[in-house]
Amino acid sequence: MNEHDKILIVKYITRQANQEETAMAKYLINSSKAHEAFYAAYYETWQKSLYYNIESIDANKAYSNFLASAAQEETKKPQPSVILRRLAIAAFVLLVCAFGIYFYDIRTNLNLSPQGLAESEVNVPKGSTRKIVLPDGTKVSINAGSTLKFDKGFGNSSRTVYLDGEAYFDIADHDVPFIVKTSHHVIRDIGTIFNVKAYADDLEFETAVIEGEVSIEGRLSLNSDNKETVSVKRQQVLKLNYAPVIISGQSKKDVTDLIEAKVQKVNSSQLEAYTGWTEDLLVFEGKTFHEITKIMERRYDVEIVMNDVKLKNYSYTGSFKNVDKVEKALKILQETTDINYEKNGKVITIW
Amino acid sequence: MTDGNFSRKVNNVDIKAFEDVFKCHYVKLTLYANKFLNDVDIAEEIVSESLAQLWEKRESINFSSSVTAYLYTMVRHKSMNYLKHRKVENEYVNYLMRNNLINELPEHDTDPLLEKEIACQIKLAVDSLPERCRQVFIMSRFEYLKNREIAQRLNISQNTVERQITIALDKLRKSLECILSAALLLIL
Repeated sequence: MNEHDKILIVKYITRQANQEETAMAKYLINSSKAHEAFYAAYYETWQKSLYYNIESIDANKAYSNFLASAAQEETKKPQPSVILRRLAIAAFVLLVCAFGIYFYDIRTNLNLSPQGLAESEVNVPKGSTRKIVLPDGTKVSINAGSTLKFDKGFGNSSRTVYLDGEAYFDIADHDVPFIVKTSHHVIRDIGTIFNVKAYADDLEFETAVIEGEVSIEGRLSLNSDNKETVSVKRQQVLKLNYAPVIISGQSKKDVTDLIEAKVQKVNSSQLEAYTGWTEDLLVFEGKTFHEITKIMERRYDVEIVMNDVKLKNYSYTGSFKNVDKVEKALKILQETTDINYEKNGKVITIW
Repeated sequence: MTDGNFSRKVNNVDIKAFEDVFKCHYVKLTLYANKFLNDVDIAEEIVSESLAQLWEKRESINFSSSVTAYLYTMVRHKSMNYLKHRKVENEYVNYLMRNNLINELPEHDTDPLLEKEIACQIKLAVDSLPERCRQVFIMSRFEYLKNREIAQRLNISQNTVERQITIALDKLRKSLECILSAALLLIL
């Protein structure tokens, strides 16, 4: 077996192979006994090499985690049913018809001039999401009510995109760094998959890293106005919350009103709360009705009116899978909580 | 502690007995799950989930065979389900299937001495790698860095990184081969 094949198979074993290389490695393993034997031996060695630092798999820590979550289960049980108690059951995974999201290639759809002089812009209206492939091969899912722009000449000397809204990035391997600019922050990728939520009209900013690492630059701490940089690693989420500034009746985000900043570690199932939308799965984990209605407004292109302050602050846990109509979503909410609603065209009133 | 003993204790809701089982099997089960998943974080999650389920079902489960076998089966099923659910295909699982090895328990679980020896051999082998090679290997294996990131940090080419990792694995495999064939000789 030649050196090239060996390195290719090792890349596959160590999870460093891209799609094409993975397909090639699998093909080799399946078509030659020698390659299969090499693969199995090296895969097993890769696995056994964990013994070098076996302490990193920490049984004591895992046991404390188990005790903590078991204790939480216990205290949850006797509680009288709050409005949303029944929602523990609301892992309502409704498998309704999947609504179509199509991968389409931006190169063929945006009519870039030959030199790529035009700045490209993808607008995703409320009520829909879209998946695109950027010219460098990076895959992006864009959530409802978002705009993604990128520079002329994207992919050659720079790979910078501008985001207002929410998008999930699976970055293609490339020498040029990939940069996402939002209204107040700059996110630099270091070989990653990550989700950015930065709607200009939201009072929050979130970046969740699924694979690899990103660095985020902007105002990040409460007691300093200076720009700072923080790195967010695999299975971590950076969250920033802002206080509302009322300008002519509309709340608006301002950098100076940062009231909370934190980096959290999350496990892979919790990550669904950040990335589920790319597969039409909305996960609400202790989100307030106020936050949920915001998400629903974008997802279903409706306006939700809620005047009861107490209701706005109710927290809800549940998930909607492939719920394609706002009526269905409202029905689930109604069945599992004590809310009432009325729909009038695009306007929904909840009380 | 024997398995039979444990099942009785667990039925008596003995948390201490459960703690022993948890701590005694956790690492080995994680390594076992990792065989299918090739992702230590996910492996740990699946093992924790399996052990938590064992605890929840402590009163309803009839341990007809041993707890160990029960746990291994549960972890294997959960790992397979995970791959299926995520539509991830691991060629190693296909390899095990093709060669009827899917139900084999790992050798280090049937032989604690062998496990110690593997651990010892691995430490020795990694520590005796040439410095650059060792550095690259540790960054890749334990710091979860991508080849590109390693290349950037050490200011070497990505090709060099790939080659060094291949060399490291080659050396480790050779040093393991010695003890595995020695163990085989003992059995014979």
